[in-house]
Amino acid sequence: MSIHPGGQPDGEYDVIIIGGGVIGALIAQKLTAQYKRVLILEAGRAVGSTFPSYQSYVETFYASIPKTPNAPYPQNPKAPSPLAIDVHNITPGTPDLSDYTVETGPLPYGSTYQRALGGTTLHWMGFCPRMVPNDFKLQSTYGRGVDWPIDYDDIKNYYCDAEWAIGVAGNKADQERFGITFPDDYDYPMERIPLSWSDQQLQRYIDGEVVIDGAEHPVEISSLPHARNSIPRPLAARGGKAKGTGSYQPVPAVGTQSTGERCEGNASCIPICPVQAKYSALKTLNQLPEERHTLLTQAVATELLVAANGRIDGVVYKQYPNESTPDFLVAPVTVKAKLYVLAAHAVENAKLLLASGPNGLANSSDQVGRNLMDHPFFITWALAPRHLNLGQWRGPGATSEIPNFRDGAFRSERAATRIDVGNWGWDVATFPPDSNINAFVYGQNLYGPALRNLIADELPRQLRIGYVLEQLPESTNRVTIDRNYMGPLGTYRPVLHYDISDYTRAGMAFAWKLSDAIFDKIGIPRDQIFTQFDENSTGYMPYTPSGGKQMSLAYIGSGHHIGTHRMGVQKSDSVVNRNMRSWDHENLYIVGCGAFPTSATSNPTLTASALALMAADDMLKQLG
Amino acid sequence: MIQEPAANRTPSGDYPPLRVGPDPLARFISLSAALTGFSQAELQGTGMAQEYYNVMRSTLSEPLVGRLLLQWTLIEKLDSYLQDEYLSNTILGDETLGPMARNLITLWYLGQWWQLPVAWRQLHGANAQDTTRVVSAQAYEEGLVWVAMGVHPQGAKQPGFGSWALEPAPLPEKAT
Amino acid sequence: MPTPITTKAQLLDHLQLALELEHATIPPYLCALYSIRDGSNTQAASVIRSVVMEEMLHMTLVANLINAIGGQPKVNEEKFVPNYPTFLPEIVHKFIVDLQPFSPGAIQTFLSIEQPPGLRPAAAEPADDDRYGSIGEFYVAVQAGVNFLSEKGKPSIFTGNVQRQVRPEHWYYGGGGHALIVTDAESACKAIEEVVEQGEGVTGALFDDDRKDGSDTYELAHYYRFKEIELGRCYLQSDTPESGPRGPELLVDWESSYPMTINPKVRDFAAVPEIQALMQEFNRLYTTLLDVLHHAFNGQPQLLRDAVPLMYELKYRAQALMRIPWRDGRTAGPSFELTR
Repeated sequence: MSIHPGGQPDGEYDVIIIGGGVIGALIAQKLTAQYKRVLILEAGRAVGSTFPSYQSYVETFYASIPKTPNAPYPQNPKAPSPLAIDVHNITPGTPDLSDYTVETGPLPYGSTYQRALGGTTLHWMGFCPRMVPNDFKLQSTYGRGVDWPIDYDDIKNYYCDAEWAIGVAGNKADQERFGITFPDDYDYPMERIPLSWSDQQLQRYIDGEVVIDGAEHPVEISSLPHARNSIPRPLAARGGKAKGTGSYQPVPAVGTQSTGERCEGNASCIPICPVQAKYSALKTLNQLPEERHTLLTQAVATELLVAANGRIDGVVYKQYPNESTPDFLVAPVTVKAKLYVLAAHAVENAKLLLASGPNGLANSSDQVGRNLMDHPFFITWALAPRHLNLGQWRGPGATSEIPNFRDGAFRSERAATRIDVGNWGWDVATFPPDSNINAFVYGQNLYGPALRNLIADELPRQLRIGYVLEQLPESTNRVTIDRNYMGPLGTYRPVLHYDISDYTRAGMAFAWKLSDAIFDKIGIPRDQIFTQFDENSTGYMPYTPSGGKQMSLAYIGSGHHIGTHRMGVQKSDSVVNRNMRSWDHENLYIVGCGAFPTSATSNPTLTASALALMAADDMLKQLG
Repeated sequence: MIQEPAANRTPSGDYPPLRVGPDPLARFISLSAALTGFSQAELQGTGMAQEYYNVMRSTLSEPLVGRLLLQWTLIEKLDSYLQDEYLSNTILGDETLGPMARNLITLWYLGQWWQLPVAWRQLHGANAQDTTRVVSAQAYEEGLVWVAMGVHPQGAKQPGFGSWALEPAPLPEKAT
Repeated sequence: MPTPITTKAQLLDHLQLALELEHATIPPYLCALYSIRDGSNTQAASVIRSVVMEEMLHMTLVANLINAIGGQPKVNEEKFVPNYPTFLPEIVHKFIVDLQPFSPGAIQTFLSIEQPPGLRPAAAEPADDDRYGSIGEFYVAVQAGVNFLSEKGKPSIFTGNVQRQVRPEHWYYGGGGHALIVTDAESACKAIEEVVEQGEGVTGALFDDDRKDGSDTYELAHYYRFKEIELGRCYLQSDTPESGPRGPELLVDWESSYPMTINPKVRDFAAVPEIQALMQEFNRLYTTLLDVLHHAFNGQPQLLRDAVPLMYELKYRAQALMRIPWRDGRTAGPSFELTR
């Protein structure tokens, strides 16, 4: 089995999937396993579909400054990706046109995604926490946001399926909290990724309680589930669905058997795992049965066609032979199937729906594009005491989290937060080690042994803790299209309108207090804490707590585009039903993180994958 | 004001026609050792000495390189205390040689050449090669900053499964 | 031919020799592999890499065999580590094995190491009655010994504690195959087969006759993999030892390797203490690696995980040494000397 870039449609298809990322790949896998024929349209290039071509992206990464998430993957003028290289605050009334996505603010969205085969799983971190049961019923439990049309019990078996389909390393015992449960005979396919030395050191100081504003809160360092290869478990850990004996076989890199069956500690998960031990959709695509799927790359879907009866009646795409082909030489092609699946990313899904038909499609609720969310990422940083010798800068970006604030009664007042304990020094806080060289060599005029010693002493002690914050659905946070902002091949550039409400800002203000308390527990003196924001900070935003004085907060994007085509129980206020099928077009599925009604605090890919497998079941039912 | 690139000037221009001197690569390596705090053997072990020397030669004019290496030759043989004082005052503290020397440190530590400061470029001319860049993929992999930190470069020289859970190298003896 | 193995003690002696033999080949392979400049000789590098990975797995399999019959593998003693140039442990025909960079000479040595039965290495001294004709024949004798000692009615020799076995989950080093657990005659035979078939072969056939897990291709025996490098051409499935390789060209650039000093010794570098210090540091790590392996093979198999970072670290340090100019146009290199 192998991926063939380019390609032409060949025969009849049961399902057309738009988007060759993790969602499209998992759906294609499930459908083809049931002997359905699938056509996948991917707008970007077949990045990394062979081992040597993947290696060329590793080389590009080495030679790039700065090493942003998209750095290894050259921008594609025919299917551009937002790069979020120079995120800055937006002047009111002046849209920021510097990136592929147009930003009107008031705050910058600041997250990237990748339009290439494999999608954003090429440069995701790979964390796979489940959502907690209350995340599915935020409105009925805490009077905030909306409820999902499904609850934890509806999705829990799909979580198991997704964890085995992607290949997640974790220990279920570490995850059983806030009502998250697993079948008795089940565990993740691979053992948890070992906690970093830094985690182990911090654990000794952090585990216990913190006191904030007079209230005690339990805190602990716990492992994170990762979609990266680790020590395999026996196949019996699959529980009821176990097939065969022996152990789970970790999936190696695409195009070679000789690497990728274990995380090798490259410490560059974002932007690229050089050995492909981290899951990417390329692995699933590479395993699709040859005879039951066609993969078209460099094929940009430009419009969905609708028949008089409301059913989708075709997809128009434009396949560019290469990136320098003039747009007018790329002719539109229409392909048809029984079912259509939009799995092109939350922003691209919304864009394509809004661009189709005379006034958009699937939009009788007027919710398409609305309720755009992210997980604003609040970071604090400090130098840990020498005696801890944290040994930072090793291993995956984080191997542990502080999970205690992912749920609680406080969610009626402020955002929940999932806390990543970083392994890469001050990474996104100050962009070391370049920033340190700049400070030490050009600022302090250090050289020779003094320079070498300062680096040896300081950088391994850099500690960065990140607070992944919940955001509520708001109809004014949205993706729109505008004739004034056109992209290549007659497509639109997405226009993003984005703000962060006081619910999230209050959560962030709490996170800062929490951070001080945690640093205090570790024994970090105040003068070794360097968290500081002002008007010039990326993602700066002021916040005035009730009865308090104004403070300066700041965030960076998590790359978790959520919302834009939410699922719900009724047609009037949601775009898709619980099976991610369009209320308006019964043979159209709109799948991915865009279907989430609320963001909660879990990195969204695992949940989106579980939902994709759930939607695929409905597709199989429809196809008969 | 952008001046004509210094490299294009005739030897009878602003600077005396200094030559780079005998075995300039060896002088470059010993100067680099003093600047970086790494032994010459460690620097040679990166395999980057020749490439970095070439970067320096193609980015800075021959008279400027000559001045730097000649100045180093004058102080190289001094005992370490004096050598350090002269290195600090006559090279790093010199408004022409200082920015060049600091850039050599960055070259070795990060594998990057950083564009020289505006003031320096105005004084000595802007060379087309003087742009901020990673010199090569290998230069990134061989950055000394990672060695100094006791870790591998992110994304290269992989340390193996579970290595991150093991005790790291000890911190240097004295806090600096 | 040496006398057949008829006692458990003889079997253990042979297996300990096998351990020494497998290990003795690793530093020469690593020197050749690590001397290849980045981006050049990629096919040759991948051949040497695949062979050395398998040799490491073989060490593990032999250790499992020793543990299965209640022995104690020894891998960190003074005499375990060869003093290069060396003969291989006294099993096979004598030929000199050097630590040297990737070169025609190195490939000739590898051909001698991996020679199939019946093909006498060109460089070998005359046959000796106490030695086996090849490593393959040596393992045939080991196999016969296991069979003899496991005959019906004899007390089982597989008395070792199964907890001492290295299991597949303990061992991963870049796709070097999977460890097999040895608990009885059948699994012992499988382990020996794995060692022999991956390596020198018994039959003299070009290709391993069973398809490896998940792979669509037949595995070429080590000897013929090196033959491909020597001759600069690949074998086809239809080729025979007699036909020679008739497949596509295999590009080899003998100049594109670091000219490491042959058989370097720390003591030879006294004139440049900076280099000597780096060589000693390499040897300290190498000694630590053997210590970790020794503990892993003697009751703490989970420690094998910690050996992998050491092996990577040794690689990067060996490569650095090979880039440091030394004398007569040659560079420094790793000496693989035990340092306590």
